[in-house]
Amino acid sequence: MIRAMVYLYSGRPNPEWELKTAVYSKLLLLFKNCTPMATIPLQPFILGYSGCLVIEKNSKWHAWKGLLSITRNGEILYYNDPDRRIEKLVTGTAPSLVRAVIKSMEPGLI
Amino acid sequence: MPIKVTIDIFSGRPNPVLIVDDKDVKKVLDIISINSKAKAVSKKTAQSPTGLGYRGIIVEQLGKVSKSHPKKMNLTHQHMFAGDNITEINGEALEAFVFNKLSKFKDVPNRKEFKNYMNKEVNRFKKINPLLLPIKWPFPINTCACAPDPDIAWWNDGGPIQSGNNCYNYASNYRTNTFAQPGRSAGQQYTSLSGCSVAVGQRSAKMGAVADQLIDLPLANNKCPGKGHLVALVIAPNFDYHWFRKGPNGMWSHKPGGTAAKLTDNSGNPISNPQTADRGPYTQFCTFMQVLHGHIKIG
Repeated sequence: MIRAMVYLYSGRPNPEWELKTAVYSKLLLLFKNCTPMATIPLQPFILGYSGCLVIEKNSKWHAWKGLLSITRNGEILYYNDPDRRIEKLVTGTAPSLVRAVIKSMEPGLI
Repeated sequence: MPIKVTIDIFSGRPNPVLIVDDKDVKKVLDIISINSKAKAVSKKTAQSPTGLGYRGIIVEQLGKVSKSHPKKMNLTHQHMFAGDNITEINGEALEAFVFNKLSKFKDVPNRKEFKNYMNKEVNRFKKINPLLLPIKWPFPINTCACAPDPDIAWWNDGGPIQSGNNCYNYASNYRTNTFAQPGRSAGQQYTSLSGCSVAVGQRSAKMGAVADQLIDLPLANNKCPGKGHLVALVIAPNFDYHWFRKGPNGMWSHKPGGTAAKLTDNSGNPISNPQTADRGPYTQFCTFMQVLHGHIKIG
């Protein structure tokens, strides 16, 4: 099962949900437009919304503000996420209450 | 006696390493000696650099250790960190020496690209250095003698420690890998996050923390307690709670949920007082609390 999550809370557990196979396939299609980044950007996490995660068995994808990082076997690779398409795709599948919270913190994302 | 020189720059891949085992050993150690400020060593007053990108050069003595130098030294362009000690240094001479040897380093990807990347990174690092400096006499030594170091590299393992421990774990310096909740361990978890104070019959995050044996110090006024360390509770009304912890140098650090622990607020500024820090949605400052090491139990 592929899970999705958003970084929202600091104290409470973050919301998680199952990512449907069809959405994951779309994500892989979008990934074809993501190019590796030559330099590793500095993007420190903040309090509040800090992007979404896709968690597979052996890898973890984090998309936030146009940056996509993929962690696999302890190695992190950085890509751009043009127009935040992957972030929009994943957060768009969140439960409605979670979407409402994201919308209030990150207007225009979904 | 060989030495190992590491350019501390990568996060995921191995850092570039050079084993020096000839006349250059003396050269490296001499550069460090000549440029350090008359052995002006003090107890630690700042963290050796952390974060993504260039963090300095690590020099380790392998085999028989020369007594004139520490076994392991983390060097930036103006500081040397060794164990619990820090000294001012003109590290640019060492950087120049090391960067000139780039062709001999192991684990250097595309050398030309890497050199450009490293130059940019070194410049960026120097720009953000005011976060570490100036350290002037009198050194703020042991402002909070009993407080734990931020130790953020340990918490930020990018794996189970980082993802399984939240702000409450980090602030109380107590790893449970359970995303600990105030009061849960005592069977008295909070029932409302409407604000610092909650309606009669409800339990607040602070009440949960008190059940976990944290001690409420509403009048602490950002001053360290005699024992243990100081933490601070803030609330994003009806949304979440968050904790900060005060370190031995008097500055605060925190860990936003399952993300990386850090030394700065939402605006990127070091945190001297969580009451005035940029806390994003966590707009209500509730209270300072005391953590007595060994007394609390969270889960």
